[in-house]
Amino acid sequence: MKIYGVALLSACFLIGKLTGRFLGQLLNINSDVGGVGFAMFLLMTSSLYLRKKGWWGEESDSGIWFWSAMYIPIIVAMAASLNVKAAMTGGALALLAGLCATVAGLLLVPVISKIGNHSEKNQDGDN
Amino acid sequence: MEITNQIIDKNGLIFAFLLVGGIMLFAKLFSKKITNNRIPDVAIAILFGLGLAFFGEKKGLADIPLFSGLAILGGSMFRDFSVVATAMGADLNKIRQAGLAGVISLFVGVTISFIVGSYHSIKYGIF
Amino acid sequence: MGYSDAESLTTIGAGACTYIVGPITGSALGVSSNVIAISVATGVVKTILTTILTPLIAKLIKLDNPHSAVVFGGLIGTTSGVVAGLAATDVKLVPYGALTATFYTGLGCLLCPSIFYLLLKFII
Repeated sequence: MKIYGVALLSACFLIGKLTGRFLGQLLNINSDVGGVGFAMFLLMTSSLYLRKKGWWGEESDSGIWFWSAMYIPIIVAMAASLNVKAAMTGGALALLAGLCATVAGLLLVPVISKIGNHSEKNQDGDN
Repeated sequence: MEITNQIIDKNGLIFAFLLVGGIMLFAKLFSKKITNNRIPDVAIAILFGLGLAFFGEKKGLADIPLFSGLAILGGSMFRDFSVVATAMGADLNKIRQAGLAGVISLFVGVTISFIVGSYHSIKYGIF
Repeated sequence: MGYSDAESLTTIGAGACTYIVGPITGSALGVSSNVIAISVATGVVKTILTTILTPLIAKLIKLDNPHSAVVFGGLIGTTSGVVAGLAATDVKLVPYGALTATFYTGLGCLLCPSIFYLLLKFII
């Protein structure tokens, strides 16, 4: 049943959000501390566990896949309902920060690629 | 005309699905025909969404009653829910395949981007 | 001159990760809609630039084997940009880049509104 998938997703979502809020309260800041991240981690581990136990079917998966595929359209809807007029002055900042973050990431590729480069052949073999 | 408005008013979220579907289709065609698939349709769709938000004020396009459903679809509830669902695409077993360099690159990537982004907003400011 | 509250700075920093991490961090910390808009724009700029720049400098950064593609996916993280950029460089590398990039948003959503936010708050 597809609803089992959606229900598992909802459970992970709510537990993750609760954990985030609870952590926020514990740290004395009135916000959600990494709730979505916790929820994602929970979904990864719980679906893995259920699959191992053989309690998880393809049908249940598809209930989650639907929502996963909806995230781009939802981000587009969000983008269309933001206060962009007030954000105009930040346009240059967005360009600059986006540019520098991209260039920094690209330039680090050869540096970090040096780590464990001998495993390259193994990876070739795996796939 | 009034009946049409009434129906859209009562079914705002559904109308938002239709709208976003249209935007995604437009972005796909734009990416293919004008940029020769060089710029991903996802980026074009989000930019287009941000552009549409100029027609409104605080809540972007959703300030216009006809398009108020966009604020529901793009609100934090649906957004966080669908983003959590994308965790299904990430198989924790595969992280071993990525190896040490893969894991290090993830942490370095998130950290560097964050530092670069926040550094520029301190330096140049948003407003 | 600059912008100084830790919540907004964290949101823009998260936006520099991906256009998803930005708004999620922003609403978790309760920043205003225009700051979220800037963070989304930052993430989109990163996606577009990654797509354009990757094939141009692939040789320079030795992005020509599965190992460096895995590292590339982890460093850049914006899945759509990574996939499009690698596709324009060498289609065979796409699955390797996507392997790490799929974890990036989750890690970003975990770290940005928590440890990174607290660190920034502490520094300011």
